[in-house]
Amino acid sequence: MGSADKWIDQFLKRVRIGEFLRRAAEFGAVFLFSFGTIVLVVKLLIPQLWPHVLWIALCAVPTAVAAWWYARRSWCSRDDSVALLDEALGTGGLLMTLTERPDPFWRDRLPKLDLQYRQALPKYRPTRFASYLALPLMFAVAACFVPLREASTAPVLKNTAARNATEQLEELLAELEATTVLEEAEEEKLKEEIQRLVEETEQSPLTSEKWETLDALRERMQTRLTSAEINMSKATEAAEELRRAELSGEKLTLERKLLLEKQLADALSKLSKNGNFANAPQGMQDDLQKLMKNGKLKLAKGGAARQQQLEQLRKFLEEEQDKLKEIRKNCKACQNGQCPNGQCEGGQCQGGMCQGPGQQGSANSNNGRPGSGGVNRGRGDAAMSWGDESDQQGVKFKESVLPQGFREQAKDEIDSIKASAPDVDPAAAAPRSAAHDSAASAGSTTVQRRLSPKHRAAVRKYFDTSKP
Amino acid sequence: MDRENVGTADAAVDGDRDSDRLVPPHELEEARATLQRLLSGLKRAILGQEELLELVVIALMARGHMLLEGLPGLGKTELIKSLSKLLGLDFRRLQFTPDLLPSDIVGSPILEENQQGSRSLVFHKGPIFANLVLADEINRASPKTQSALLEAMQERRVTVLGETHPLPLPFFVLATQNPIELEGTYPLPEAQLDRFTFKLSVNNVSSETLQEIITTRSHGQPPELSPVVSAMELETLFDKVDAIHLPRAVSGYIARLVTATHPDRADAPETVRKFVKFGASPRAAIALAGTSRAAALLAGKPNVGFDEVKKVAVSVLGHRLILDYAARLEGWTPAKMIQSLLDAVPEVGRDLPEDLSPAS
Repeated sequence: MGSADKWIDQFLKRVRIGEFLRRAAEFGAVFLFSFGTIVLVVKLLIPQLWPHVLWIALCAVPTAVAAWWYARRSWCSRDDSVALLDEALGTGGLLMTLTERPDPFWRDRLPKLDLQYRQALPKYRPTRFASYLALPLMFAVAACFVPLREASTAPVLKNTAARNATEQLEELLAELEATTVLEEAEEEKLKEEIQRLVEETEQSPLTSEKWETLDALRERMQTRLTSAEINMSKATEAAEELRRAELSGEKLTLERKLLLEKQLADALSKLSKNGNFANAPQGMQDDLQKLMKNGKLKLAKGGAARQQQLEQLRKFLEEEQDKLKEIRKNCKACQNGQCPNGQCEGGQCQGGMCQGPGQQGSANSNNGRPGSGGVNRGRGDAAMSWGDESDQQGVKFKESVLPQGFREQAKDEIDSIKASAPDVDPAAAAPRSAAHDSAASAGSTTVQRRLSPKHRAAVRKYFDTSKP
Repeated sequence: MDRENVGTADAAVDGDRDSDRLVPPHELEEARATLQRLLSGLKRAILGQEELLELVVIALMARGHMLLEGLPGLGKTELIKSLSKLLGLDFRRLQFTPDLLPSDIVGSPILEENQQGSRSLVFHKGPIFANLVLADEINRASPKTQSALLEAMQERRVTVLGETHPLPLPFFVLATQNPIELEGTYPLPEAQLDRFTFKLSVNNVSSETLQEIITTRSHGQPPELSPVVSAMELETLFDKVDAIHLPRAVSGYIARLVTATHPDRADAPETVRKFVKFGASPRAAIALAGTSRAAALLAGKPNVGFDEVKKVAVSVLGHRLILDYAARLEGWTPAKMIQSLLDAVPEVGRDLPEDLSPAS
């Protein structure tokens, strides 16, 4: 056979490589898909295993070995490859015959040109192999490029909402303590209540009652802050007005003057009571003590000294007012859905108000769609919308027109005429059935009338003479 | 290759392995020439049926029986008569009729008185004792009479009253039947059909052939034929057919083809599973291999190829498939079924892997 044998071996080799490629494509696809899935799982769920998971790529070697082993199990036999080559060469079975029964006469009839054998060899189809592996490979590579999920190191604490709310209250209380807006007794009481609330919410979640307590405390402190702001504002305005009057020589009415001084005195008195004079510069503290001697405001009678006193007072009060504004600005508990800093938790700041899920705000500003979300924006302010009326089909109780509520047209027929008046008992004569009723009529005639059941009782009652 | 080279080559071949060697090209050429003589003789008698005549010669070389089916007047009987003339074999014709009895075919013992005056039953051979038996209109005889052929066709002998009489060799039964006019006929039982190596359909001829018949044949008489193949040559041809090599891959193809005709097999095509009731027997596989060898000899090849199997598959397997009634409703014929089987069953047991493309 010589040259034919060489080509048979080559054909067999190609067929076996083709079989291996087929198995390798299948095994490779499974391996790549599994690899990608594992990498994806590691990156998303167990990030600490990255990049060690890439060592799994070494499993490609045993996968290739397994593919080779599986391909070997269904290896193409030499007989089959001879038959395939015979078919490709078109020798009509002669090649098969000569491999089984070598014969020198017929050997010469086989094709002699290497070119013919070469053309009969099957060609590799890398595109099929590539197309089989392309998708799993892309998946595996894409899985490697998926960003690693950052594991949150902060422990998840229980009752975060309650803790945040109580912390805000404590912060506000501390701010108010610094400005001494609160009286000492009230301050102590608030502290106690906040502490109790903190203890209660440490283990158990916030209930509606606790939320109400929390709101009440916050409201109380806000009221104190607002009250202090108003007092301070009034006092500042009073000091300014008095100073301007002194400066311009304008004559204020006595009543007005007393009113302004009273406002100024009240504010200073409150500041003095709360110990706020301690915040004033050292030089001014003595003056303020003097001014508030015996709890009454004693300003200089006039001239430059009065002007200077009023100027100092105005500045001091303005500083105090600024402090209060600063407290309000920093107070998270006082924001009420506002976003003065332009920041909102879990939402966006629009027009000074927080918008978004769970944030307070105007329902109309939420894309103009009331009732579209938020804890306080339910259906209440949403417009009512009406759909089509339901049809009657399938309704249990269908509408039906009842018969008219009056008796039918009387059909007066004379039953009989007697010589004497008929002896008729209306109650006894009224049958239970709705057929008809016979009742006594005038004179000696008996008239038959058809009565509807619903009117029978009324008729019976009307004609019943047994009762007075 | 001339005779001298053959002689040298023959010497090179080990004498003990003579039976293993392929038929040498020159012997094959001689055999082919003899067959061509026979074929051309048949072509002279029967015009325009080249393919049918080739199949007839193939069946003859395979030592198989033939059933010719066709409409009346297509030359079935003439074909067999011409064959008998060309072969120079002992030929008998049996016209099968409803009143024909088995003894009319195989013969019967008759009480005779010998010269000594004693009487004994002497077996008188029937017309079946011939090399070539034409069973004309075989389906017109009763099943009892048809059954008389069973033993003769398979075992080439007949048994009468417990006495077995061998038939002369070669022995061929060449039967004809008409696919129409089925009143008063008895369809051949499956056992008998299976004994026919080939069932050939004799089709109508073209108008050109008809014109030639009209022009060249006065009163439809065929030309005078003389024997072209002697009994000795026929025996040599049979030996040559037996020497044709059947490669393992081809025998595997035959086996898969026959197996695929069985609807209960997992590798049977969908059409077979749906429409075939019973598949072909192992006898069909043997017949397929034998006729493929004969076809290879006729083609001048020392071996059987896939093409030879395909060439004879319809004639060998067609009458051995029992189709379901649904197949008839869907317009499936045995020939169409075998063709779909040939399309479905791959020649080699395995295809090329998908990662290889076959040579262009």
